[in-house]
Amino acid sequence: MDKRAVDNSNIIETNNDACHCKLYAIERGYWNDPYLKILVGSTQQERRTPEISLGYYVRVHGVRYLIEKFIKLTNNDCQIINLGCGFDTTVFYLLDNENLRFKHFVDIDFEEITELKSNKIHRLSSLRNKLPMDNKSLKIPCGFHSSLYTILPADLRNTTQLDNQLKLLATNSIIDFTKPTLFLSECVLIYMSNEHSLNLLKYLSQTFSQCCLFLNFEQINMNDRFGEIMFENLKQRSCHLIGMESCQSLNSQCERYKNTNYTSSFCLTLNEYYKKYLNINEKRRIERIDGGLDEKELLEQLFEHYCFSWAYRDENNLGLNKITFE
Amino acid sequence: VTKACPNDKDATMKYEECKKVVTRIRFEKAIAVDESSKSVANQIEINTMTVEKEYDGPHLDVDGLVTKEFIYALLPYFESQKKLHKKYAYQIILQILTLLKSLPTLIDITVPKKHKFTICGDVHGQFYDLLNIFALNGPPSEDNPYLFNGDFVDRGSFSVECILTLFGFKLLYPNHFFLARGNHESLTMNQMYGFEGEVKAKYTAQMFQLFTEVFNYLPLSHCINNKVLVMHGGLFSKDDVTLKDIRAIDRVKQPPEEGLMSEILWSDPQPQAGRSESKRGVGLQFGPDVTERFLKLNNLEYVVRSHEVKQEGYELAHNGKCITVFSAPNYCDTMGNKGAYITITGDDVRPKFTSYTAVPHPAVRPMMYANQLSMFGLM
Repeated sequence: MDKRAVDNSNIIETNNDACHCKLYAIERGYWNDPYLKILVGSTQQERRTPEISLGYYVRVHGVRYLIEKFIKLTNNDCQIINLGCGFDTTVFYLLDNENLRFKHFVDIDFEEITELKSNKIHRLSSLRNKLPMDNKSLKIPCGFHSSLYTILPADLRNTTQLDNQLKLLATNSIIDFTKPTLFLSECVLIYMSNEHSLNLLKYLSQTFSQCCLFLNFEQINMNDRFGEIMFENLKQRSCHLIGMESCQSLNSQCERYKNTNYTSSFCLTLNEYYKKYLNINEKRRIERIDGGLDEKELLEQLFEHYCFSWAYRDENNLGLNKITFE
Repeated sequence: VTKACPNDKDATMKYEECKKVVTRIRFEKAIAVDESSKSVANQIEINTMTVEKEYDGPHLDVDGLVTKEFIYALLPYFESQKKLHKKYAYQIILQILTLLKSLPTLIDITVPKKHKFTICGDVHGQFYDLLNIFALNGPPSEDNPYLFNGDFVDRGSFSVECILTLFGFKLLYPNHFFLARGNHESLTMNQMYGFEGEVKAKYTAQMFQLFTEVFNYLPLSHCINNKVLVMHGGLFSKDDVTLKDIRAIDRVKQPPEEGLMSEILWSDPQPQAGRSESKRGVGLQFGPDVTERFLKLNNLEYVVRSHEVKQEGYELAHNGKCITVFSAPNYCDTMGNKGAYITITGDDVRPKFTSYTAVPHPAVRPMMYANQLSMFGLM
């Protein structure tokens, strides 16, 4: 059996897990998202611990907040490329909000995922009807295309393949390499080697060199017991955190942006976000949902090991430095 | 019974969050159904369970009575990761059910002069650390009584071994071994934090249902020599709570979201005076003045509680009047904390503390049986 296929399937499995955790949190009332259930279908849900639901809540809200800021700063004249998207529903969230218009949204993942996601969208009118179709009948194998939203299969470790796919969109005037572009990467880079993630980052900063922002959500501070345990536990489930090296500290998260031609970078842990930037009433509401936090220390420990990190190039001085949680 | 009223209040107050309230009401109704439905105990037929001759573990005799020999064979059997035969497990749990049903919600313990008494906090399925407590402090006996202050299960993946051991000692020394309910002796927590998964993996879903029923009967509090009050969480949202009020709590239910029972299982002390909303979202935080007034009203010297992990395994708060004891070292294999227990004597209830570090355990990770990738984090 192709070893790469085996590796991919374990990374792909993480999408299932993330989806089920998000679905559970949505059903419990942490936030609203009518689309994920449509994409994933109904499942027997096991109870999830509040720490995990709160973690996904923070992830979804933090990322959305920065996306919204980006869209507003660029006056809706922007592109969003969601790397390792899984069954993420951000595009539908944005389409539902008339203040959050964008020029184009691209979801990218392994073809096993993009094929599934594309098929679902084709089949299910509740999703398809959200997506305005244009006259361009661009056929993307294992993918999907519509006037505002494209699903593109690509192995992010293969920048040649990625480049071919993006050039396909560019030559068809679907995306523009010079337009302000936001890259989303949620728990993606850690599943590839450092070499691969650096190549990817460099490729993106070079190709979208005029104006781009790379927003990353993943592990951090992993050089401790917690990190060791997570690494071992996931290894036992054939899920390899090969990219751990960049997840050692705030420094290591930012170093890689410096080394791949981004001009500025930022990083903060979920703990900092949770303490400083989350509205107190919202915090109260979400902490009550699952009958109380069992052990605050464990939440803090989890949140100390995840971060938002982002970096940008702003040759046109649009003011990307304003994209923070402040 | 009392479910309708709190829900109505909430529905009015949280008008905008109607949908979430509906979810919660549905959930609470589900709990209510659990309580009023037929006892699982009646459905268990011990006599039809046979013990195969290949079984090499300890046996209970024909009466099912736990003996010292049995327990002393059981501990090393568990230690080598073997499974007590389900017939004997059921027998133990059923006998505990009968025993606990006879107990009041607040138990008065008398420790005679010069006699020792040990109070332990959360164990959380850390069986090997539990064995270590017995190694350091001596095994339970009539001369070496123990009180375990709740949270026996969940998170650690040897919860079954812990609970059967604790139940075994309770049956063996009913007047010298005490168990209080913790917030983890409840359905929601067991579903989320591993105990349900572990019981289902090692035994049956039916046994888990039986545990759920049994946990409802665990007493909520113990009072030692009329001087020291012990409960899992902490004190209350009102000042006029007496021991009589605690005795009167109708405890045979899943912990409610509000009220004395909820507070006794979930509250935490805080350094500043007064009361505040709990950081946990359930229960409350209470200050040194609250403790002071409570002790004075009830003629007590101090309270002991558990519920919170502490680096040294214990912590004195409120000028030594509110003591936390937590007995699960290196909690979740990651916290690096020590565990501790408290010893007192009948004539000198001033607490003495013993802290200890974690001992090695077989390579079974915490929450092993809450079988989700996401148990490790966000994917």
